[in-house]
Amino acid sequence: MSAPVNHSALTLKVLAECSVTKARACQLSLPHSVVDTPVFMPVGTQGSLKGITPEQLENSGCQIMLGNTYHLGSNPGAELFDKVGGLHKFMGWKRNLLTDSGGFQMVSLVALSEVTEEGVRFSNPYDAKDMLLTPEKSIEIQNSIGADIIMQLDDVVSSTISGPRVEEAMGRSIRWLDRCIEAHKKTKTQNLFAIIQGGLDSRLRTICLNEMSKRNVPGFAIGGLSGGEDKNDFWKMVTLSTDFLPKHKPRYLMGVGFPVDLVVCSALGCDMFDCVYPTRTARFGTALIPTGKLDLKKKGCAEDFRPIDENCSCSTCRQFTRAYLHTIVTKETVASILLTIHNIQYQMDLMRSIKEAIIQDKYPEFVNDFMQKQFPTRNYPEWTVDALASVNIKLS
Amino acid sequence: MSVQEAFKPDWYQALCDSDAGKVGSRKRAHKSVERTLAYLDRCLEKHKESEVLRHSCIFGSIEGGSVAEERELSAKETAKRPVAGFVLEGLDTNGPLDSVLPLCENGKKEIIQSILNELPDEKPRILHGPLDPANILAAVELGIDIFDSTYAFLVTERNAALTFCVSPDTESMASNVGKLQDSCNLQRNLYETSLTDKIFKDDFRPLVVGCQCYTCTNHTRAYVHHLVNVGELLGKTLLMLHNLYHFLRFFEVIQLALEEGTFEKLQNMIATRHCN
Repeated sequence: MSAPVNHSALTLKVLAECSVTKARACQLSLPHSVVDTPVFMPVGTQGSLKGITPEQLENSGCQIMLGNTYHLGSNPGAELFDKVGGLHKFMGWKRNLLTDSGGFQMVSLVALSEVTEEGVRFSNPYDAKDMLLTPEKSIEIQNSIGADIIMQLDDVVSSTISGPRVEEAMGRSIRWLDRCIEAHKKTKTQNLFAIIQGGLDSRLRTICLNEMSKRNVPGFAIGGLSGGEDKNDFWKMVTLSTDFLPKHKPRYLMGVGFPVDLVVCSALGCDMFDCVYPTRTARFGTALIPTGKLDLKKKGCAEDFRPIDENCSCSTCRQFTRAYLHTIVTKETVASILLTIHNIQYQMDLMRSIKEAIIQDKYPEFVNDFMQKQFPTRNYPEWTVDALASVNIKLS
Repeated sequence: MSVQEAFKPDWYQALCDSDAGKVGSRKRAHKSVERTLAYLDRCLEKHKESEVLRHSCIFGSIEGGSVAEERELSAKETAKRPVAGFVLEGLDTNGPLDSVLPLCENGKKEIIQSILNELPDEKPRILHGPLDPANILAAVELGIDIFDSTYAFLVTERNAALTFCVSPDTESMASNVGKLQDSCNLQRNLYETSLTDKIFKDDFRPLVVGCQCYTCTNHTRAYVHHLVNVGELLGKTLLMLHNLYHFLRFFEVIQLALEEGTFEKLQNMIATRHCN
């Protein structure tokens, strides 16, 4: 194993722990700013959050956002980032950034990608060139991009497959983690997170957890989930991971999720989340509200002169009505921007209220209240009932 | 009129018939004049009776296609009505999105002149359409008061930034970058610069050095180039913010030039720095 790494680039301060569940509220100090957890990180794939200026994002209270290494590595490319001094400077974002390794996009976006021990080989659709993404190359690009948190290159397999490939990927992810740690040049300004793999197999997950927590990384991600697997299996892998992972390091549940997922998985002990859902659904005309979703395209909105949410402080809710949004949704580009602004605010507000409830040690009440609003007829999804029960919350 | 009552605008244009038919067609042009006056009179009736539109201003439209006599007739007759201002209709090309409204074509300048000769000085005149800076100045010189932002919008739509000189303080990007513009439509490129040009990939200056718009104070050519290159929505947003700002600055400069008596100097500057 490599010598202990200086973690001055990240400190986690646990402010409060829920006395009933595994939830905790923390303060995560990163190079660019402090982040309150549990935190939701919006995804700005290509160095921009679909139409939102960095200033608008800052105003929502967002303290950390994502960029995708695969896209950014192609355009504008690592060389440009070296020239300008990183993505923060390039896009004018003063707070924190997190980049993924580029691996997931390759597997999901590119039809012909081939994984070997060396790395992932694929044809780049941007310039039709053959590219080999190795752990070293991924770290190199991420070092250039300069995000506060960077992710190891992992061997990602779909959560819906089983068999020996899952074990192979898990084992390879451990070896690639070591290569990433070795290759990482900017340990004082960038935090390399490990990604726990192992599919839906608790035996494999446990092996991975065992091995990876021996490595001295500043944080851990739970990967390989949120890929269409059965939710009943999903939550078990999440809680298994948080049981095992060290308490004094942040836990990042990748690709999650919907508001309900955020509330439940916070109870299971996760600190960080990311998902394209709120921003994507905004572009289709759907706003997120405490009771679930509001489809602005529906005729019922045509004469509804209330804002999306009367309690929301975002610029959209302060200035526009559902009726107005109904007339422009899917027709005018600005509609998707207005809804994106609202949905981001919704997510920020949700996470803040989760955090406050944990600090006040009232998280079970918060969860009940939230779930009742989302499911007024109490038809809770089975997995949420089971997952919450596992951390001593009984949904009424 | 019931739509106008529902909208409660500050000013509105009375319904008009702007289809003047083929160029030179007298019969159709005359029809458009007659019909528009008839519509105007009916609108004025309703306007007078309307409580709701008491504080709204009604504008009349000048029709007549390209036939000078019809234009004069339309202007004379419309001026007799109690309208608050005039819209000069039927002069834009109605052509492809990237068309500019050249006033030097088809005797348009002369037609506008003949219209304005018949209109009272103290009421505003509007000319809609995508006019570039030289054409705006030509229209202002003739006596037009109000324009719209179509031109700025079209520039944004083609991923370009307005970079023509609006004041001695701002360093226009066009003059900065020199004569390296790409080959397509040189006429157009002299007021604007396409951000798709690879030369901006690592240019970390604002779109126009010295510009105080949101985009120029917060972002760089390189970033905007990247955004338009990968098709990110923010690219167009940032360009529109700049283009509107730049365009409005131009109008401030025109107003100042008229006040100070340096209008001709402004025309010469635009002509020498930006026209072929």
